[in-house]
Amino acid sequence: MSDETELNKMFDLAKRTAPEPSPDFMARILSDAEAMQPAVLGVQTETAAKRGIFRDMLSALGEAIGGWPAFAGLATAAVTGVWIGISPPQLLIEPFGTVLGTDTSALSEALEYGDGFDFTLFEG
Amino acid sequence: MTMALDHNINISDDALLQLYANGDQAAAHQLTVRLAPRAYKQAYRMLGVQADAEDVAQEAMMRVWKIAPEWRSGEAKVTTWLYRVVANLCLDRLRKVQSTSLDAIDEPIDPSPSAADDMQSSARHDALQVALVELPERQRQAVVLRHIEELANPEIADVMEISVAAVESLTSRGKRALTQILKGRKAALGFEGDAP
Repeated sequence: MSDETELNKMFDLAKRTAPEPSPDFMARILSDAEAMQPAVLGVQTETAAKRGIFRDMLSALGEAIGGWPAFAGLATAAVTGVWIGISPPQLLIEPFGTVLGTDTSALSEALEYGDGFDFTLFEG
Repeated sequence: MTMALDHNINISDDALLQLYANGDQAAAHQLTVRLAPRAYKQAYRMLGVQADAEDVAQEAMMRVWKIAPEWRSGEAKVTTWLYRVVANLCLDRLRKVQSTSLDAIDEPIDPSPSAADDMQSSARHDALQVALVELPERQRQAVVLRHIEELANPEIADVMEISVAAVESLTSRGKRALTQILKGRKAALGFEGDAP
């Protein structure tokens, strides 16, 4: 028998009897595959992208109104407005009383409020 | 760990990679079953050390998972790409170790219980593995891909990034060297008494 034939016999044997990977190895590979599955990364990326868009919008707004310090002014104005709405200070009511007296019907008419409206209601 | 057999033989590796990239868990399983043993066997034939072969195959598979979202279908065969990755990782490892002495080589793994019963087959299998590890790296790579993994020469040329003629030269020289290495062991391997 020739050397070539003998060698080919050994190759054939090697093909038939290839070393099989261990079950532990296969489990490690599958575990890597699941850990690196892009779907998980995809969700994170999408969330990050949404967060990025929101941050970009805030940043653009900040720049348009004069930078981040302007947000402090806006917040203060908003809180003040709410506070005035809930509990208007006397100084805001008084001028109307001075000009119109206690009769506010003219003002009511001008503003088309109902007859029963009276600024004195604000006085508590 | 027991894994299900690869039933989806009609789905290409390309398509499975795409499914994997889209979050399909079954695709991760299928790709593992299809590709990991292939990577491991190639690495084992090249390195002759089970632990090293597992490390290389695991690293190669990590690269499969990483590249999946960017994989362009139809541009290259997934298996060719994987063979190349494994081959390069093996070469890197061999060059780091440089003088991988035969003492560092594992006792060749017994192929299967039925074959292991056949002492002659086992001896031939062991002898081939030991002889393969004695070949120069490039010859070993070409011989393993051609004669054990049964790749065609053009695909081996792709894997090794050389010409087909160079592949033919490497496999031919590799076979001659193997014959020389195994010559003195003919009787021990039982070839003397084999029918022609």
